[in-house]
Amino acid sequence: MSEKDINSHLIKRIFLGILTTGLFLIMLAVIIKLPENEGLEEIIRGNIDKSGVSNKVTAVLLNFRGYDTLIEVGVLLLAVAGVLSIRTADTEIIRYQSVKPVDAVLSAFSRLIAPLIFLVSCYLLFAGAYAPGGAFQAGSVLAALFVLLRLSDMPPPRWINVITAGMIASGFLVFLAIAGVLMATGVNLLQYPSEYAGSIIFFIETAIMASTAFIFAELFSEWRHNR
Amino acid sequence: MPLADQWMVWSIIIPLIGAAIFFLLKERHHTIIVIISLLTLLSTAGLAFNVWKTGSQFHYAGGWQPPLGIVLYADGMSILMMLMTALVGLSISLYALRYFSDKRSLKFFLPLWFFLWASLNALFLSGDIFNIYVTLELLSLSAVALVTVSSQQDTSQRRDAVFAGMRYLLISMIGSLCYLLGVALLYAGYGVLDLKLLSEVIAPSPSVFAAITFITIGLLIKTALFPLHFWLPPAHANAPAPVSAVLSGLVVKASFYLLVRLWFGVFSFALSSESGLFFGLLGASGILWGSFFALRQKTIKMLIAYSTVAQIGYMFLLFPLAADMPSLWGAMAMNAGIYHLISHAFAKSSLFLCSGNIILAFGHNRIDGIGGIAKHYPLTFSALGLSGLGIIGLPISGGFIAKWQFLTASIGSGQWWWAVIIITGSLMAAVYIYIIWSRIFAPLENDIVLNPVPKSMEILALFLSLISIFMGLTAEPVLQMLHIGRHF
Amino acid sequence: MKTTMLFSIAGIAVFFIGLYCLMAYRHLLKKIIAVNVMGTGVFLFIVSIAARANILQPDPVPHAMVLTGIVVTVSATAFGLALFKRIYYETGKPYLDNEDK
Repeated sequence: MSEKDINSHLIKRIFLGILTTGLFLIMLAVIIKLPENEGLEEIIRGNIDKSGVSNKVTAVLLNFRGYDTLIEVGVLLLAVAGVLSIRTADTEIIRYQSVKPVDAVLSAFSRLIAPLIFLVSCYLLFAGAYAPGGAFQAGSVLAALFVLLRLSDMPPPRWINVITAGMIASGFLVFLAIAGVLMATGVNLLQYPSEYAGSIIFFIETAIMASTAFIFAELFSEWRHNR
Repeated sequence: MPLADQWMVWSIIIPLIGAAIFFLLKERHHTIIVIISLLTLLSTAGLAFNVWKTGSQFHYAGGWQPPLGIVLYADGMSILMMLMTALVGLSISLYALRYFSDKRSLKFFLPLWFFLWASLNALFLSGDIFNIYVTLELLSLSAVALVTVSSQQDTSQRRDAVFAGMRYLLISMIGSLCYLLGVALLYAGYGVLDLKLLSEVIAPSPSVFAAITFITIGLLIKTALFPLHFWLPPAHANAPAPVSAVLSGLVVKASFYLLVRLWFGVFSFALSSESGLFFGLLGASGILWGSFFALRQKTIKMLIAYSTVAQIGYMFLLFPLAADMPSLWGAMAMNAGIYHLISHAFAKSSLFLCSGNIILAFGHNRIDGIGGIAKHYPLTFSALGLSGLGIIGLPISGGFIAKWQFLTASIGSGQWWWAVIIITGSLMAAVYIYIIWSRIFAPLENDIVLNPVPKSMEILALFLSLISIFMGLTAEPVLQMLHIGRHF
Repeated sequence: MKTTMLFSIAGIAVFFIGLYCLMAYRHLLKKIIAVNVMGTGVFLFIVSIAARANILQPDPVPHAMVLTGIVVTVSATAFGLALFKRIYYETGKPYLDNEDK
């Protein structure tokens, strides 16, 4: 890089620095005068009994604003479709390499910790009904387990390839199917009958957890690849 | 609840089901594509019929009324957008069946495309600012992914498509985050996400103006208004032809629709002659800039893509002209803007489908090497001619109605300078369309072997161009529809 | 000034730091990370507005908004990384422009 290039680089960065700092200062003046507001906490507390769960965030996510979450699960499935469309055999330059074929400590430790991780993800799923937790968190932990197992040289059995596509789509499919069946009974989009709301939400969350685990593992790694 | 009230939900659910099915299907299933597309069209038509008969409709998702839940809201403007989407969408579905001749591309195209269709319907119906964010994300991500769906392109084109996709992804993520920050500022101030409730409590304050700025910038990025348009030409020109048609015809319109909805609804207190002038100036620059660069392009797809930049500029003339809405001229400018949006959608998607036919026939789309279309592909030739009329805005086309109303409104309201821009832009459009026209009459070069183009692909391009011409005759019912249940 | 205000300000600051990095650096991986930093700033801001007013318990709606936002950003990031790998494979360079540097 020539001296001229470095100079123009520096000028560009100084300019951008001044610009973003200026914008930040303007926003600072706005933020400090931000009006206070109680938001929707009170009205949610008033309706929580009808939602089927006692954790307010889960109630918002899966019941009050369940439609948002339906689309959100769609975005996840969409991301997989997009990633698969550009991930072809010839682009996999950074192929997973099993550099350490047998690392006794790693594999022993992974064996030890794997059931524990599975337990944690199940706990997160169940806890979502009454405490912080829920399907996405549980699914992410489970995905981490999949990746960890692959890194510890314990690839999944080959039949996992058969069910992967189905598992990836399962959360979205279950969610859509419930929406469709409910609509057929003549109620609004994702309007759960209040006596079954808890069970329906748990069912949807289980499906989302399973599919999120497969989706995250698929998006960010080659966890299925056997040597 | 009777089925009649469920149409709007089905218009979102059915394409989503389609996307999930096509994600899982290994083989292409022509019948399923046709069924899903027709069902989506049917539910849109059912909704449109209901709104036409009984006025605007609400649907409370989850059965929870705002502010707790999300409301879906169908009025004349949203159903017009959905009908436009459905007609273009049906054509795209059928066109893609033939265009993606290799199984792999089609397999990846279909789920992405139905996600996009669902997100458009969801966006047009949404009445909740955070729900709009989610639908915008579904829309942007599917649009970006569609740009990079490979087809029968050579390596350098595929590389260009990946580059364009990356640029498009980054820019649209910035747009989404700006929008989300704006939503957060509004929620911090008022504690509601529902558009109607928000419009009742919102009042001018620094944080509200900051929110409006962020939301507007986010949406302007996604609409590709000058000077935020730089990502559009490479993305639209390097995508496969049916995808280009969707991007130019529908996707940029969705964020423009939101701008109109918000600025003439919730943010209407901020709409003054100054803010109108701001949009108008950017729009006018877009018209001149886009048209100028369209004249200099060597390939048909690049030319059409720059033409989109120019045509987006026209839509933004709506803001200065309709800023004082109650007046006759304001209403006329609003009509003109929306009418332009819709007729451009048909004309532009038809042009891109034609470019797909040309690529298939000639193996390239350089403007100087497409002689012989008139003789060998008469249907594509007619489609090019008719949709060209619509883009220029010559009489009997839908584009003419829109531009005529823009002209009348700008002269009537004493803002004659917009009329100068409109006429200049139309003249430039006439020149760049003529650049294409002048070559298609040329005789076929001797040593060229033409590939056969499936009849259905030619007919679909012609179908869309016929609609854009036909819109010259349907102004009255369409504009009546636009006014159903209008807030503004 | 309440503590939550500090979080709001920090969120906005992180947003602009991300914006700066996005515009200042050419390396695509840095750009993708910068967008994620911007997103984190917005999420921090949203979480901070959940507990500003004098209420006993924080407002759950911003939490749900952030969860949704995170999932969406993760999806877009995954797609961006896949595109990045493709670009790196095709050109051997992690940049968007074709200049040699």
